[in-house]
Amino acid sequence: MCKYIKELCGIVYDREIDCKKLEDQILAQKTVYLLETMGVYIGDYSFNWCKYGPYSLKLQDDILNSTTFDLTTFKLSDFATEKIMILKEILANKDLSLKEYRWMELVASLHFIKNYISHSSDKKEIFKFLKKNKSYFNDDTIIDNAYKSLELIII
Amino acid sequence: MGNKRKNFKIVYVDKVFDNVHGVIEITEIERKIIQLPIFKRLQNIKQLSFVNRIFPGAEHTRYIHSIGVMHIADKMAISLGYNDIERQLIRLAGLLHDLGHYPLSHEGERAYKSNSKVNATENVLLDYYKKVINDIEDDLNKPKFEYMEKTSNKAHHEQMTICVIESDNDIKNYIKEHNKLYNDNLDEIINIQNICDIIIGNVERDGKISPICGYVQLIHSELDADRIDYLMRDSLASGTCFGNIELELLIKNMTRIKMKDSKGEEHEIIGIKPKGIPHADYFLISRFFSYTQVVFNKHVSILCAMIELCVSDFIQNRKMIDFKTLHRMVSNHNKGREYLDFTDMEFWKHLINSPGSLETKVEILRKKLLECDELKEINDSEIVIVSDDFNEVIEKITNNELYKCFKNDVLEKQESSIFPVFKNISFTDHIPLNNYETLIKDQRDNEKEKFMIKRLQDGICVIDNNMQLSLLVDNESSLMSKLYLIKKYFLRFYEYDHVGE
Repeated sequence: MCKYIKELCGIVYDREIDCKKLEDQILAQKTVYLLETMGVYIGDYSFNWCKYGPYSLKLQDDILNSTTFDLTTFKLSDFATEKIMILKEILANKDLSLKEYRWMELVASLHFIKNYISHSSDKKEIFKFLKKNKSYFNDDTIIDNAYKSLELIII
Repeated sequence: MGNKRKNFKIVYVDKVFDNVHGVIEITEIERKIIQLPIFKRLQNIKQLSFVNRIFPGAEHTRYIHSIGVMHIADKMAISLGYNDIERQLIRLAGLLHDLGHYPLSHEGERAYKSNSKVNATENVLLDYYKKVINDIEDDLNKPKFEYMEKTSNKAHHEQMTICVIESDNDIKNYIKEHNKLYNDNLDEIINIQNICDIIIGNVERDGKISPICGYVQLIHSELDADRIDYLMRDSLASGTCFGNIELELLIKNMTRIKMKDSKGEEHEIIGIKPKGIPHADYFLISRFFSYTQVVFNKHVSILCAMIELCVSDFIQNRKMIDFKTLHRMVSNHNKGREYLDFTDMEFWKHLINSPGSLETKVEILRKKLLECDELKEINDSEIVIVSDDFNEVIEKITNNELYKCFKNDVLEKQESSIFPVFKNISFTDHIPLNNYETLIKDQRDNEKEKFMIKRLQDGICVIDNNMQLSLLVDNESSLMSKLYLIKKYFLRFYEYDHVGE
């Protein structure tokens, strides 16, 4: 279990997240998911497909119980720093029309669908599943840009 | 010359002699896989790392364990009435389930995880000390709730196994060639994707519970072939009695049903008949004692902690490859033999060849391991608690003078001459339905339903004569309905002072 969720998100997004807000909960969930898929060990979290994409019940519990936010005592490992830079790069590719939590949700969802749901590299299939389950993602250009970001997610 | 293809049937072509299960018969495709260097690699990874220093018979490897898991999974599959194609899939998943294990099994894995963790520092000892404090003061009071789930972390040995299988051309070709020989559409069932989902515990496909969820439960649940084999094997090899479970009766009492969800879709749940409750209870109790008496033995515990720290330091000092390089090596393992040598021997190589290059205290650990020695336990310092109240445990530990002294050292000096090892184990990871429902109360209805189904798939589910389902913790005929809260906690303190003289 990780007690540094707020600090971790603080470094990625340059602000303190509000763990009571749904948008920030989504942001924290997708941040941890994407970092774990790049091999950063954060906790024994397992993700399942839920309304907003990859979701971990245990992580949610940790997010809701995150109270402290102290960046002075929190030190990132070199490995995690390298992967956080990738997340920042993905964030920099964000489409202006989307809020950051929606962008991270889109990227994480595409990764999860590709690897654990459709088991396919067929973009059409992946996009079809995404749009069927998340009708608010309906712009193919934005989805395609997010899909291209997956290439950055390597170990 | 007609291209005559036949219907698939399990045919045994060879056998392996196993000290636990006797003669284990194998099919042609299994024989081919067992002969692959990537499978033989498991001959060089001990199942229980250094446990053989204390229980000298525990010399068994991941190789024979994998064959044992295949055998037990198949016994279950036969008893549950799966057909030959399904059996072959389940057998292959059992055979391949540990292919990506680290050197020294879980000790190596823990070291790699701690080196790739989010807040690892350059001081492996300090990271270890902080983790002990975190485990006691932050994690003990976390609610424990399990459901069928897959790990997403790439450093987990199951994810590594997936990576090995998906990048192994030989395994893929063997399966392809094998399936071509038969009339039946074997590809639909016996394929890499299904094998990987079974190994990793993925029961989702297209956002729904997948049709292969029954097979997953045989390899990846509270009562799976993996757990049964290691309990029996570890027990026999260590010379303890905790593996004497009623295997035949346990398997005979397994059953499966299709559970309909609110949309009318059916999901397979594998469980036990009410008659099997005592055998399932006995299995969980035996497992509990196997951990408390063997894995958490005071000598084994310190040896394992010493190994983990040495591996961490080897990685930190770039003697052993880091996780990133390892992952690349696994993905390209067909191109060379580097990964084939990434076994216990890799650890031994560095243990022998790294004098004086490690952090001082880790160097002491390295020497001790080489000399078949270990850190000495501080006299009368052991805290062993059996309790159903984690607050009581936290209070007892945090008021302990040695613990206070250790914590103070870590917070003030960022080091300590006291070396703690903390372990805990429960009978079951599952909690009663009411508590579980509270934890998922904020989920949407269809997600709640999915979590409820996955809970039944992960735990030991009792399927009664009226087809009603309940986990052991919810069934008053099971001891687990009373024992689920009880945990055994061990905190031991060792010291460097008598070391390096």
